[in-house]
Amino acid sequence: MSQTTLELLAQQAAAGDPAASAAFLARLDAILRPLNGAMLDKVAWCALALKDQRADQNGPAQHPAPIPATGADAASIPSGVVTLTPEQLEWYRQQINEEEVVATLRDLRANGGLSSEELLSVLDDEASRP
Amino acid sequence: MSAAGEGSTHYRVVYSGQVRARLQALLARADALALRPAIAAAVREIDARLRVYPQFGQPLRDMATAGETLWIGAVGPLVVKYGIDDPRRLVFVVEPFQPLPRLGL
Repeated sequence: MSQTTLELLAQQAAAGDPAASAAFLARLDAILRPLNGAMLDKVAWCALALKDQRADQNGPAQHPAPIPATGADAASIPSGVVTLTPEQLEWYRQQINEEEVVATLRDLRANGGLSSEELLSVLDDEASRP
Repeated sequence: MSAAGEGSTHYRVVYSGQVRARLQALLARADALALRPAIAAAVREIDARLRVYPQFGQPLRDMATAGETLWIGAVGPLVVKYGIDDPRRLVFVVEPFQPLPRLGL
């Protein structure tokens, strides 16, 4: 019942009804409030991904579809977002060379670097190699 | 550099030249293990996530000298370290992608 009401409010909000929009956001706030940080991150990611998808449909920017892994080891390698454990985080923390990281940050801020498109072109170059 | 993301809520991702050079080497090694498609998919997914919501990763360390936080994001089978400039909607990838341990790469 409440789900239907929320869906109706969403539809009315999408149609431009400001009162429905306010009511929808108030309901959503109440629904999201009990969630922990990780779940809120996922909700935010879903919303932004939807927004991004819509932008893709309306403009030239494209997010390439992931390529499914193949090969004998493909089933055993991890895919998707992985949450690192405190131990793993500590291991990566110990690898940091702060001086180098700070110097790279400064350089990228001052001089720029490669764009997403420039980086991803490596994948295309490599993929086209015999 | 691309202006993609300007005027929108997207972030613009800036990679160091070292990231690209090391990615080429990583792809060459991945070839031998038939892991190239998985690496390529992870790179694409990481880039897409950084553009839309770089907070998908985990804060790794506060950089005292720069007053910034270094983040780490893991999208199997890769790990990426980066800084976020939220007011300017920029993400700086400061270190080459690293494979998760025990992949043989």
